[in-house]
Amino acid sequence: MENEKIELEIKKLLAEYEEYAKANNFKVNPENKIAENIVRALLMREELLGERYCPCRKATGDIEEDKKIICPCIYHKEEIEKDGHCHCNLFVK
Amino acid sequence: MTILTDENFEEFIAKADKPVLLDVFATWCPPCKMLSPIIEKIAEDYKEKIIVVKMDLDACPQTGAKFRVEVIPTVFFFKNGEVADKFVGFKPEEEIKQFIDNLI
Repeated sequence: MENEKIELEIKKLLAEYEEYAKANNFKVNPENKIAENIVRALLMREELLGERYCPCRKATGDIEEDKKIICPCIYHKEEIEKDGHCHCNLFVK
Repeated sequence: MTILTDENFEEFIAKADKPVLLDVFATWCPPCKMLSPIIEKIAEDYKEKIIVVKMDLDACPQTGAKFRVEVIPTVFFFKNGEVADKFVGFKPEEEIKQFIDNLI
């Protein structure tokens, strides 16, 4: 039951990120397993730390500073433009 | 594979008789998990040339801060006890091998 709830949350959040990506002319990584694992990690961080902090960046513990790394983080657009994907590979060009 | 800690880090790097490839990871980081089997394969393929070690960022706050590791995975290449180069994020095996070959 708990697993089903988590899987539903992952699907819901993935759909939200897909909508966000589409609106910004990029997309969620089409490799489902990669995107799912990142979203799963985001939900785990939300449960542990209170926010969906990027699972590829260290949270400092400073709430103001760490706002920068709440997914989608402040770096993702520049990274997608430069590298074709955000550092975590959740979003791709 | 050796796991470095805040306690043994400096001595290990200083006394290493070969260049050291250090994979800094966190248990909650999906790209770190993807990178891990590649790093392990590289450790085997390059065992005559380099030493490959890992460090859990959460378990090593002092060393993480010293090397300003804010993004993971971060992979460092140490030569003669000094950082020769580094890269961040997941990379495929061939790219990592090229990274190493350029530094050996």
